[in-house]
Amino acid sequence: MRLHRRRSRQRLTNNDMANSSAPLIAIIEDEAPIQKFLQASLHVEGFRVVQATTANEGVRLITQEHPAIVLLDLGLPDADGISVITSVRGWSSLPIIVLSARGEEKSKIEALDAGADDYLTKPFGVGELLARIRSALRRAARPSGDGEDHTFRFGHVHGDLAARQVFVEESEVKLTKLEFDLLALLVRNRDRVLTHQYLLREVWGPGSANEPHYVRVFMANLRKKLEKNPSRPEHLLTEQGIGYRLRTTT
Amino acid sequence: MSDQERPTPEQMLARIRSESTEAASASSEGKLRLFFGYAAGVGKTYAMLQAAQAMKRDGREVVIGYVEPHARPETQALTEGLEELPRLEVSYRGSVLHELDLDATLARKPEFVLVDELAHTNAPGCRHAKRWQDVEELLAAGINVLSTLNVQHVESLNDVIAEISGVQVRETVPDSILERADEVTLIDVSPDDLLERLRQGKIYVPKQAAFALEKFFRKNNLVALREMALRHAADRVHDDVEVARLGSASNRPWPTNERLLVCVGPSPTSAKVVRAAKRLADRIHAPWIALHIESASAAQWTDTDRLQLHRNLKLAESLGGEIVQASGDDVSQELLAYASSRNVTKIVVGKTGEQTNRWWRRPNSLVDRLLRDSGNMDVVVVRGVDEPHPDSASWYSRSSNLPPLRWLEATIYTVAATLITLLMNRAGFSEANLVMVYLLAVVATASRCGSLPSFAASVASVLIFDLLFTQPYYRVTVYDSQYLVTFGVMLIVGLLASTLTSRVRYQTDAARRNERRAEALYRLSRRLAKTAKTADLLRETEQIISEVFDAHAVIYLPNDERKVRPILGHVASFAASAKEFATAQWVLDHNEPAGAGTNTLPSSEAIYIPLSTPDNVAGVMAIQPAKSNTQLSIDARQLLETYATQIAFAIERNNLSERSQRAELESEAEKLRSSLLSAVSHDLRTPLAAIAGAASSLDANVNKESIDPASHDLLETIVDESQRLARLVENLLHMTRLSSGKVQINRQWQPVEEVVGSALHRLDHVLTDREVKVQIEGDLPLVNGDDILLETILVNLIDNALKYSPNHSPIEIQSERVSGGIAIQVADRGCGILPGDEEKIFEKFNRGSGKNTDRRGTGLGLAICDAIVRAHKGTITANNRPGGGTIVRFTIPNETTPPQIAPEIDE
Repeated sequence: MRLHRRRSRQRLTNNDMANSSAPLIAIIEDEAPIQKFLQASLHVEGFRVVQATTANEGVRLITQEHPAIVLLDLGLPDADGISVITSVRGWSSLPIIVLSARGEEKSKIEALDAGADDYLTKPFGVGELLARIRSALRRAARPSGDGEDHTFRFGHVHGDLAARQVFVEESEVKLTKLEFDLLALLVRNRDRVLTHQYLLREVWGPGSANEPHYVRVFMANLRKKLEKNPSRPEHLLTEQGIGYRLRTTT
Repeated sequence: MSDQERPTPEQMLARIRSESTEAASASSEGKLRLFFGYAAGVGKTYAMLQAAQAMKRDGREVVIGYVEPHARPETQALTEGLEELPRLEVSYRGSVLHELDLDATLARKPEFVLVDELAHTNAPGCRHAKRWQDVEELLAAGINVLSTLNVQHVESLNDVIAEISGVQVRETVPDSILERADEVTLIDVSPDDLLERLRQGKIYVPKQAAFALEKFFRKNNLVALREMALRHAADRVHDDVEVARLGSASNRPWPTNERLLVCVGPSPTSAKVVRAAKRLADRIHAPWIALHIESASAAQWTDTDRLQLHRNLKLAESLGGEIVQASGDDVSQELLAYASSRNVTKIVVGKTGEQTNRWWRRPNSLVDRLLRDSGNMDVVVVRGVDEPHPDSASWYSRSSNLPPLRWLEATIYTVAATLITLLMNRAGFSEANLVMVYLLAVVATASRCGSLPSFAASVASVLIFDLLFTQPYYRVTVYDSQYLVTFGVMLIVGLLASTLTSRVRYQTDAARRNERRAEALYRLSRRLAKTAKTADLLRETEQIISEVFDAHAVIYLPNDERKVRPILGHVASFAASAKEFATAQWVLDHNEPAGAGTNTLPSSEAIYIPLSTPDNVAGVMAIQPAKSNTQLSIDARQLLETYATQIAFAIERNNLSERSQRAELESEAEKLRSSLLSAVSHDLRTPLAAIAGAASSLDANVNKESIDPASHDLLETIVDESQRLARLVENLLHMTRLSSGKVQINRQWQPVEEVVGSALHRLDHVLTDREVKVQIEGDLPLVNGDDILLETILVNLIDNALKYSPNHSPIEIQSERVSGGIAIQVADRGCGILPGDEEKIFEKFNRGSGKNTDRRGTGLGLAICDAIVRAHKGTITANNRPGGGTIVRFTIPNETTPPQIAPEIDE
């Protein structure tokens, strides 16, 4: 998966500001009922919405309207949704959330590898949708690079990436080097789903692609050290068949 | 250990081989125990029965397959208490013969069976010609056999014993069966005791053999036989010791790398040379090759010669030699060339004494030439070849077999030459011209009639010329000594011409035969290369073979149950009988030729050859010569076997292509099915997603007080039910995919905790009021399964536990290691399972009977779990829990060894 350093959303918001203060959401979805429900729900929440029903139309919409975020259905009539991600990623790093059905883990991974930021499995509730949209917007707005805050906090865990320190409640937890690297990577991409292959490559190096169980075993160790109940994790979540997500809110 | 003492790779190989055959015989094949003696009456049967009684006392299952019914009262007494299988009754020429009932024994399948007289020849109509073949089949079926054998029946000792005792024993047992015997018990009494027993009438003597036996039971004879038996047994013990010694390498190196070659010809005494070679090879532990070289002289062989050659080669084969046939003009050169190409160290030939140094032949015999040219190979010359070696065979003895028609032809040429010369003489031609005419006649005779007639023609020409055209006329005497030169030249030219032409003629014949064969083979392979339905292909093949061999050919193919069915291309009457069918079936089952001309089921009308590829018997080919009472020559047999291989591969190829076509069709159907599935699932999911989403959206606005609490409840119901429907659709899809067997299991190593955790996370919203206890054994190894499918199992099991147990009752999830994998169980405190339903609840659309029916559910959940666990080759069971409730437990076996994760070294 390509990770794009988030650019400041300055240009986009400026553009938005010209019309209204509410962020613009582009929905690329060919099913009218879903489109209707998305539009209604988002509108109530104060977002502005533009819509497209095909991949071509969608790409045109993104180039013309400069939305703050894109909701993309993978099964479009004219082309694969992944082709939309690739063409948008050619020139923009705006957040893309993929909508797909259960049992399509392969295409979800492909979409994430192509540069999608997140995915939602249908059927989903509006609460979940809004949470994902907000966290994606928050991440996009977060300044990247040197200004990044290296302290973090989720649940009863907090720490400092620069100092390589992690605390549960107030007592420091000793992590091994790899455990810490894994946690740091999740923290830097908090609330995003990271695929197994990406974690393996980033933490264990490019030669480790044949040892996918490493990530799982180290993840289990992290849970034992950080989660209150490791078999019912609240933060270090498994996205079955895809990878992991560090959920900072509960 | 020094280099000399270390076993060579060959020795180790030999040991491994013998160990692996031991292991094989220990695991699947039965063991053979032989009671070995030097004559009838030494007490073999008695000893065998004693051993049987002892084994029975040890609690082993011993039955009598066949013991000679003539036994003495003492022997008879020993059969008491042993189960005796009924004998097979075969009526033959008016009398009833008793034989071992092979099929009954195979069906009874005892642990041990007694079969007396291993060398016995079965009555015609039995499956095998010889009893030792019956025993081989019993051993192959895993039945242990106890049997008896006398030394004179051992094939390789047969001729020596015939010489000693003067009695030719016809019933022989190949050495191979003796060598494979796991135990040989030597039964010995002194000859004096034996003779005493004979005098007391304690030894059974069949009336018809009384005379031979009388000759046999002489003291010096018995002493010699006893020595043979003792020596043979001692050799065996020696071998066992050697095998053990090779393993320990405690002594000097073993002489390996020896290879022996024996020349085989069509004379009956060649068999003797073969036996001698076998004994020699055994003694030096060398593999041996029986080589026959067909030279020009083969043209003059009679059918008897060919048959004898066939027998000699068969004998060599049965004695464990490798059979090779080659052809060439110069036997000694061919032989040496072949020998050096195979790294032969010793050549065994028969002594060809009487025809050395004929003036008109090369002045040395085969033996002489071999001795001269053999280089560093040893040449062992074996005594006692009463007839000349086939190649050096005198022409005279062979040519007498030429049909009289050729003689007539030769006479006509000579007479015609005489008439012409008479006319020419009258016309005044010179004598030199007349000689030319005679020469022409001699050459013509040589080319048309063979060597002996042409030789006779040249002698006759000389005589007639002498009588008619030299002075004094009409007298054999010659005045002018010049004519002696003329006569001499005529004679020599005649001889040379006849030699040359006969050789050319033989070569032409051979070339023509080869061409015919090559043409037939080419035609067959071209036909086989064409793609067609197997049945059509084989029908044409049958036709080609029928033409080439002038025989009826039928090919049988096995059906799905491995039963043969003939492909009847043309009418072959023999294929219809049940007996022939049985032979074909036997060949298919045993992958060995049988039928006419073989030792198995020889009373069949046709010979049956398996069509075998390296890993399968694709069918059986039956050949019945069109002329009755003729047997296929060894040439034809070899050619047939070449054909058989080609046909077998063609059948295999056809089978494969048919299979791949079927697979292609299936995959097409599968593609259609899966595209239909995804269309249906899309059509079901989309409205569900819209309903769930819209309802949740409305519900979210409750807080904003645009909706009253009653509506909130309704909205919640809509959301929950649409979620449930979505899960149902998902389950239906899973079930369809799983039951079509097309689900790819993507096995990965993962901690059980993670699977349990993600399943619980998915069910978070329905687990709100439940206590979930998770107990996972510390240090539990990783589980080797498909992450998504494992989660599906757990989601379904936990969902079921929720559905079928009262609110607020706890759900317990446990996992532990089992041998070769991981077990996970989900337990609840619900209503349990009705007795007898433990299996049924895993069936599709079964929701358990009775009290549970008010609960909601499709009954698909457990069926899906079952299908997923099966796809992982695991097991799943459901049981009532002590104290109330249900436990569903499943195991996921490891497909490979679990990976080790090296502990991280923390700096």
